[in-house]
Amino acid sequence: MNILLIDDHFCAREGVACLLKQLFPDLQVFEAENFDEGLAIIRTTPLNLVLLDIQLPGKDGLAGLTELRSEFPNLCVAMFSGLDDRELVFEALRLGAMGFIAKTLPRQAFALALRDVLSGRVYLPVSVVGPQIAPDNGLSGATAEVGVRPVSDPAGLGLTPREFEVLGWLVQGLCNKEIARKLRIEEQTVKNHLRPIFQKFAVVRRTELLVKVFEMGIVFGRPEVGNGK
Amino acid sequence: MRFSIEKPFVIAVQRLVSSIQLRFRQRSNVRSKQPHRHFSVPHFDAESERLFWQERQSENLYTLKTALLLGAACFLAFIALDMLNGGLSENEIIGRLLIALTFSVLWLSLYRRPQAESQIKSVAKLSVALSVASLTGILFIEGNPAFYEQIWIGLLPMYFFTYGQMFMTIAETLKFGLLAMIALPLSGYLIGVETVALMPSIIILLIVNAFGFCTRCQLEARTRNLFQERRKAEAMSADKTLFLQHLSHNLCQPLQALSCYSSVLDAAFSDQPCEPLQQVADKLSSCIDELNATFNRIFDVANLENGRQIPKLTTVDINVLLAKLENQFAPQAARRGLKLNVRLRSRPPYTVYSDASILSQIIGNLIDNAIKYTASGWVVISVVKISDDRLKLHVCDSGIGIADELHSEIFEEFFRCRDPADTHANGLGIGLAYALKATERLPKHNLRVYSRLHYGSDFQLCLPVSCATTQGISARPQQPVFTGSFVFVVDADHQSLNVMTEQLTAWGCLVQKALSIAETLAALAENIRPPDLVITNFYLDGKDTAHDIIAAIQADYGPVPTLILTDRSIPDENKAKWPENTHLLRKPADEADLIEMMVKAMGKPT
Repeated sequence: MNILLIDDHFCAREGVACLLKQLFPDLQVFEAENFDEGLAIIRTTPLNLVLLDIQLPGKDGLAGLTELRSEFPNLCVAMFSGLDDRELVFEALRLGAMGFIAKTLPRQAFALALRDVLSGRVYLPVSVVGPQIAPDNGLSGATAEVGVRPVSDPAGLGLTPREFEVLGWLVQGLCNKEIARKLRIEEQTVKNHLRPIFQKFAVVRRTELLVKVFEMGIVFGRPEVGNGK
Repeated sequence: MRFSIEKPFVIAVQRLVSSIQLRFRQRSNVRSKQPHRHFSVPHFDAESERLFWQERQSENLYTLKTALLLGAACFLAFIALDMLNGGLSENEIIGRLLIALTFSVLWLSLYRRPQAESQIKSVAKLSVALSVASLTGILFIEGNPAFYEQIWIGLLPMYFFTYGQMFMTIAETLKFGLLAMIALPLSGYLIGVETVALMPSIIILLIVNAFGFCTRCQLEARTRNLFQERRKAEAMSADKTLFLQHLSHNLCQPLQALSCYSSVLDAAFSDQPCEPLQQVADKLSSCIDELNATFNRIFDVANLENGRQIPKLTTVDINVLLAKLENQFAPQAARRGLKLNVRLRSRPPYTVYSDASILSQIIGNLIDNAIKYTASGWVVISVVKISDDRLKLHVCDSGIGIADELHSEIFEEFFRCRDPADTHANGLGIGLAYALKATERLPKHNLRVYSRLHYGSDFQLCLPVSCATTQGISARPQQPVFTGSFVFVVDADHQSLNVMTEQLTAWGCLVQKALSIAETLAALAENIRPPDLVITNFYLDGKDTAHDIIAAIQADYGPVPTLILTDRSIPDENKAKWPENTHLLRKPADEADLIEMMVKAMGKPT
């Protein structure tokens, strides 16, 4: 699994990379200190996930996110910032981010957040959703468990496996047409799959869906390589 | 007999002159001590100058409006008085009436206009010019040199008006003052007033101008100095914010790295235990955790102060919030050997109108504080209803309590109750300061403390009950057809839009509302779900109609069942253009009509 870390501060970048490698021994971490350098790596290396800082020299993270979403719509991007500003978080989600990790998180929570995002779970900061009842509260105080979280069971959510798959792509910010192409089905079939999802989650906007999905602790499984040919 | 304004005015002028002389004497004393500072009116750069005048204008709007009304009233009063005394010429009445009318029109032009402030300067100039013109005009119309004595005195209120306020710049004010001083005696001379009779008026006007100018300079200097000082303070506060941002960015990064490395160490030691080093690693971790927590507290307070944390008020379920907090603080209380008892509400109201995230931080800080300052015993959180629209949340503890004289100090930043016996109460002492500041930012919230030394504390937070559940709309759970349906409502009228939204929400619908086609497009751009039903008023703002809404929604989602609301008739050729499954609903529509049409449009639930 390959991930790219774009952060201008070398010290923080190294630290996060070190922690990531320990959490996921099979992980390969690429590093870039500004967006353009990161973009060069994205264009040449298959990646599963990009962790993008918001305060960057030159092009900032939000502008970069917009650019990435248009060039590589299938690539998962999670934001990663020292700022935990509600408006900023929502703006990032609107622009297509899969999650938002605030660097101000307590130590264990930060490791858990990284693990969540790499397991394909939406992660959002406290400023947006308030404190959460941690599903694995029993582990608090202990170190983050090595390895990924198990993928959620669609039946437990009252969804069929296909609907769960569609939900996953929807969360990633794909439009109906793109989902149809991904799953090699008709667009109308996608719409049919979406109906029970909307009923289930009672949301209208993607940002609201992300919040719901996060609150329910749904895990979609490792992001696929999103910038392949 | 004609009403004479001469005597009282002359006395008033004499008093004025003597008071100005007195001031001048006082001033000359000051001058002897500070020779250079007296008339120094600070000069600003272009941007500050613009802001300075903008501020003056907003301050002066009310004064100008009052002055105009007063002016108009005075002219009318003079007409009335002179008419009572008889002998007023028609020309004079018409002249004065015209001026009074113009003042009223000027007042109206300033009344409730958004751009009124930008007009202040021109309106002030115009009214001053008009007053001078009217006085000279009356002189010429009457043509009687004997009237001069009465008329030039009319200039005095105008001088008060211009020199005493900051409607115009100093130079402009002086120009007006001098011009008026020349214009009136000159017209007097032209209609044949003798030079000897002109002299007193010229001298008094000269003195009034001179002292008016001095007063005005002083006013300007003082106002400008105040403005400058305030700007400086604002700039300093902005600098402080910027500094804090840089500091946070630069300190957070290495701290973040430290956190990561320490997590790595923790994990490594749990795989391969190594006793002495592991202890060091544990200490390191707890130091870093402490540092992190402190940082976050400081930034929370800073964000509140610089206004970054804007409250987003919604309906918050207090039980859900408390359950989460209980979960968060249970381990901390357990470590201290305390009993943490969170009593959830067992009967309505369950919801408050607040910001979920800020409220949970406030209560979290109160609980954290209670746990820190309680060595043994319990911490109890309960919520009671104190009136129909208020809930009171108590955070009580069996801790050390707070002495009466310290009740106000505990909310100050960096204040900590020092109890040498208790070493667990570590922290900066900004938790309560944050709680209080944040409470002040939320409407209808307030925080108080009741406590006695050695008898524990009771922090009480009053919260407004969310009105969504108490409003008079019939919540009919027996409308299962609509539960979970997504209804998009468009109406240019704010109130009917809200009524409709509340009604639909009460039936369990998911509602999105828009006031215009622009808002509709903005909402559609963000939505991922097609509406199950669109309810739109036929006539919207401007030329927009329901057709534009239908077209916009159809472009994104294809045909969607639609109800068109109207209180006016709609031409038949319009109705012909409607797509299938579009129905007309006449306003005012009652609940039964709405339900019937909704069922008709949406059909049976799938």
